[in-house]
Amino acid sequence: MHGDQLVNFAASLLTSVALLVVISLGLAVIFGMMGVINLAHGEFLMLGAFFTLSGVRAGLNVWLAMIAAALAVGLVGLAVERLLIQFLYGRLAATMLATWGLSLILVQVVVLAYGPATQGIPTPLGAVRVGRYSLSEYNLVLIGAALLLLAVVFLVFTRTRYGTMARAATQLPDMAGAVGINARRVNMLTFGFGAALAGAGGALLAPVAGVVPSMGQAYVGRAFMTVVVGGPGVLTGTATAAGLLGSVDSLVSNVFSSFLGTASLLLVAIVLLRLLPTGISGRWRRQL
Amino acid sequence: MTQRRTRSELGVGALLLILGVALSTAVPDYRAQEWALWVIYGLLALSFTFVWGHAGIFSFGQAAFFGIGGYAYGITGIDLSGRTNETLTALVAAACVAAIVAAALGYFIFYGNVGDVYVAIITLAVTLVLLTVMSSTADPKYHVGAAALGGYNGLVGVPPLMLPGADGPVLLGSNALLAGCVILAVAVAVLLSILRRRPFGRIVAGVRENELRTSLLGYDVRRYKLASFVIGGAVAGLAGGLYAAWGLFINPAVFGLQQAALVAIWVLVGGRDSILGAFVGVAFVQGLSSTLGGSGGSATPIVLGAVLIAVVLVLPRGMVPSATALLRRFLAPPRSSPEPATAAAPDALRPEMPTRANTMAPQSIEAVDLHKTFGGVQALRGASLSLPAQSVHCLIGPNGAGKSTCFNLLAGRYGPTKGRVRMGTTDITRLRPDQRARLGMGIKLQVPSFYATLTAYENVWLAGYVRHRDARAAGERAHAVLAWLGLTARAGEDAGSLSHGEHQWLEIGMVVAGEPVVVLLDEPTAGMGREETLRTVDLIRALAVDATVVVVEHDMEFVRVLDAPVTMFHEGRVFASGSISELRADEQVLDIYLGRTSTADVAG
Amino acid sequence: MLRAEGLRAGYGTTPVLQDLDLSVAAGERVAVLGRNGAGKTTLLKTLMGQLPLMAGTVTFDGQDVSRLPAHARARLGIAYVPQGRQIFPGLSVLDNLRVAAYGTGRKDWKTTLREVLDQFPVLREKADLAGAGLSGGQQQILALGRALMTRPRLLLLDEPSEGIQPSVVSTIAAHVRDVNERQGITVVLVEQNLEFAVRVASHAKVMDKGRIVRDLPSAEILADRQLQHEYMGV
Repeated sequence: MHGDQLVNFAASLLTSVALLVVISLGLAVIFGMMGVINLAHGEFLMLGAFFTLSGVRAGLNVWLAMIAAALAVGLVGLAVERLLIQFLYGRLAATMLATWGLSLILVQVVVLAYGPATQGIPTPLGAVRVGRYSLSEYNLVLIGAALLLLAVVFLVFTRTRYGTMARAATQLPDMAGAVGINARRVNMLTFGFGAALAGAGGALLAPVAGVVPSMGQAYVGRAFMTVVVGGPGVLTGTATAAGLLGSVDSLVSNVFSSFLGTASLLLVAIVLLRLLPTGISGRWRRQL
Repeated sequence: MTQRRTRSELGVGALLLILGVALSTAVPDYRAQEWALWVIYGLLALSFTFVWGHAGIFSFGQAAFFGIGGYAYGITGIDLSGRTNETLTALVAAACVAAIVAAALGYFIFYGNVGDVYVAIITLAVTLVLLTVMSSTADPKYHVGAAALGGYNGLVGVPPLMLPGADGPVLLGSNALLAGCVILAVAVAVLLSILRRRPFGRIVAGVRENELRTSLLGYDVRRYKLASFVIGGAVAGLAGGLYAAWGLFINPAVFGLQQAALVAIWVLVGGRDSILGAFVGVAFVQGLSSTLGGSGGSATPIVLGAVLIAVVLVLPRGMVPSATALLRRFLAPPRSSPEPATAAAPDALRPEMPTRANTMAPQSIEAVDLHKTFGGVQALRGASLSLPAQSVHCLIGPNGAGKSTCFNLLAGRYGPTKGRVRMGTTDITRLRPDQRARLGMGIKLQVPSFYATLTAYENVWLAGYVRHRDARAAGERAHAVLAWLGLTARAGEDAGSLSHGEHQWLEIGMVVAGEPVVVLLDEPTAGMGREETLRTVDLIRALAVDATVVVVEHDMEFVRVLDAPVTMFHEGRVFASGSISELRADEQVLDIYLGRTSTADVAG
Repeated sequence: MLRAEGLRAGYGTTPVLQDLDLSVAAGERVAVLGRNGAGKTTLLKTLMGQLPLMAGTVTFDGQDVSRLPAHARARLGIAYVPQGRQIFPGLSVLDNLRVAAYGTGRKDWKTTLREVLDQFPVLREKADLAGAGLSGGQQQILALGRALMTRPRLLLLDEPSEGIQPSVVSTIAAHVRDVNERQGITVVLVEQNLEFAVRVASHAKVMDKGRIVRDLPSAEILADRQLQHEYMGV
């Protein structure tokens, strides 16, 4: 294998890992940490992409548009938690039904607002040549953004008051109340934070994916697999699972076909769950 | 009772059948077409009602089995109907193939002890794998016999439902197809409804309600879950076969997230534990979307989504159970609730305790050098016990001494880090709780553990059925035990509505109904007053007549009245054993029990 | 300072506490004793606000707190060291302490933290370890430290001696007395370990079947075999 081939290969592998990280991190907070099975996660991604689209069309710089989109989806998340999710904690099936209903509504609202056609924004930045290959610079940004989002999650949960309280409230809700933590407020913020992360994921997808109201469906399955395989460790679990599954996907796709890549990702995920029913990070002591 | 209800079920079934078939032939063609689809979806929803509502397994896989059934019907039909001139074989194949796939997947899930949430996610993932796989079979090289799988477009040229006739196949028109679907749906509904009250169905309900209790009674929980999953898979496969015959095609969209979620939605809207609810849910959701599709157009998903959210928030039990409850409130005047008996303890006025009817011999219980470590904490560090058959023996000690850990190791709730457990001459160290129970172990835990939504009678019946596997004998024993407990009048009420004291006796009744030769009781008098405690003593003595009884107890007064040999635990080991008066005379024992470092220290 | 009248509370629809009355004066150290199942833990959970009241009232410092959720009571100055200690397993020792100050919104928490770490040097040694990595005795001390981080005026302790080595038990007893004597924090203690209870508390209340049936100086209990028989199952 030549040097340039190796670089190209590494870049495509890291890109597919990064992609899994950005589409899963928001769900890792909402499902992995709070235990809410959010079937509208794909639609949170989709909203992030559309808000970015609007921002760019309104003349915003694309990076600013992405940040604004993430924050906007975070606000949507806060509203959803207040209006819907707060009544459903601990009710597994009801949560799935309600978030499924929510996803139908969100898709259709976006269809009415933007139309059903696939849209897109131009991929920012250009390409760099490495030997015989040309690498998209945006893919490198994607890798950097995945690292950045992981760092944000780490800092928020370990370095802020809210983050420490959120971890306490998810680990032992009753005891959290006994040390003065208002679980209702903390849960609302956590859901909003997860939604904002999903929004950021969607915003990052906007330049590379077809922006279409139904786009969430294409990602939600993979996001769930990544989070479930990762287990309760929001950060470590998701990063490890994305690394593992993304590598498998990328390897098999490169060698065989992308169909086998996706299939092998899901098969590996299922085998892993058979071996580690609580996920990769299930037995780790420091669960973040 | 069961027979009468079965007869009434058959009656209702026949009535629905006649009505349905009559209606089927009367409606216009296009309506018949639409309704047939709804009935097929209803059958699919019904499979989920059974798997989730009755067996308590939340599986997204019903849509996958539906799709597998559809493909199985299509492939078998295309390849065989030319020769056999009928497609009933293909319909049977649909159910069988789906059942086989369900068995393979279920084995993997239930024997791997995957958690509930993960069952949902794994079945969802498998469904999505099938979507990916079936979508990428466009290449003509993917075919089974003459049936090309066709990738995203799916199987085409699927034959319609054909009955064998004297002069070649009889094709069914829209109305006849609707009638056929109604017949099948009613048949399956009646069968499932009967199955729910058969011993199998009762055990499955027990598994749903309280898995731990069911396994402590002696049932292999994994097997019952697997069996329910397979039955659900077969019904979904049958529905899938009908669906392919209805539409004359099948494509991978049936494996999509939308289809998977729709199944759950129908059942939640209709009511998760109602057979009728499955069909009502389909009619409501599909009716709503087709009405809106006709007039509202693009607003359909919004209204549908809003309705779903509203159902979850306003009618969490679903439409049919909510409507039934409402009707009951209007039709029946509220019963004056009977005065709750505070302590319905067995006493001299009631019949004697039912004796053991099996021929198993009482067994000794032996523990050799048991160690158990949790995380970093050593709960047991080498405890050995040898308790002779047909005796009462108490394990005592302060909180945290290791007596409860020892109890749980004897009961098989977890395995020891090191050491052995024997029952008679049998080494049971590695046996699961249900295997131990079948060898004759009866267990009452410290925390209440019974089936709150099953009747008192069903609670005791489940405990008795495991021994002889005879529904009638179990019924007789359940009645005898309830009479002895003084609970005959409340046999038909949900166990959850009994008083706190009655729960205790119900659980003891469940132990007696299981005809154990070894009985393990963990703090049987927790929360009891003196009167009840004294009655419990009598009861334990009665049990010990032909069984070995081990009691874990904190309360020394109780142990004194019971006057049985005592083993005292301290810091994970056996500290002392002997009679209670011997132990109480030992200042060292009292020091440990009261946490005194020495008697002289008291003044400080 | 704490007054409970006609308390009825429990799990589901079954009350465990049956019209229980209790009053504790400021600065007191009270032990609640009784056999397993008498309702001692239920009492503490109800006082903390983790279990809803079916009937009765709880007043704390003259304020009716009956309807307040647990977090609001914690902010008023009630702290709880539950049975089994309930250390946040995935948080470091330091975060376990900090989070209590964050939750109750104490402003001068850094000073409090320093005081707590001075008082319990073992916590300083283990500051960065995960809570789940501590031994039972260390967890108990952490739970006590965490409670103090909320700057409480009333401390509820549920079986702090359970499953802990005798040598550590006496350390904990000394700490609890110290907290009361030096910081003036009122203590309500639930115990099975009579020696511990006598050592810590000046007064004992004996519970049976969801009520308080006896109230006496705690030293009398060790001598009263009859009482031990009747209400404590010894």
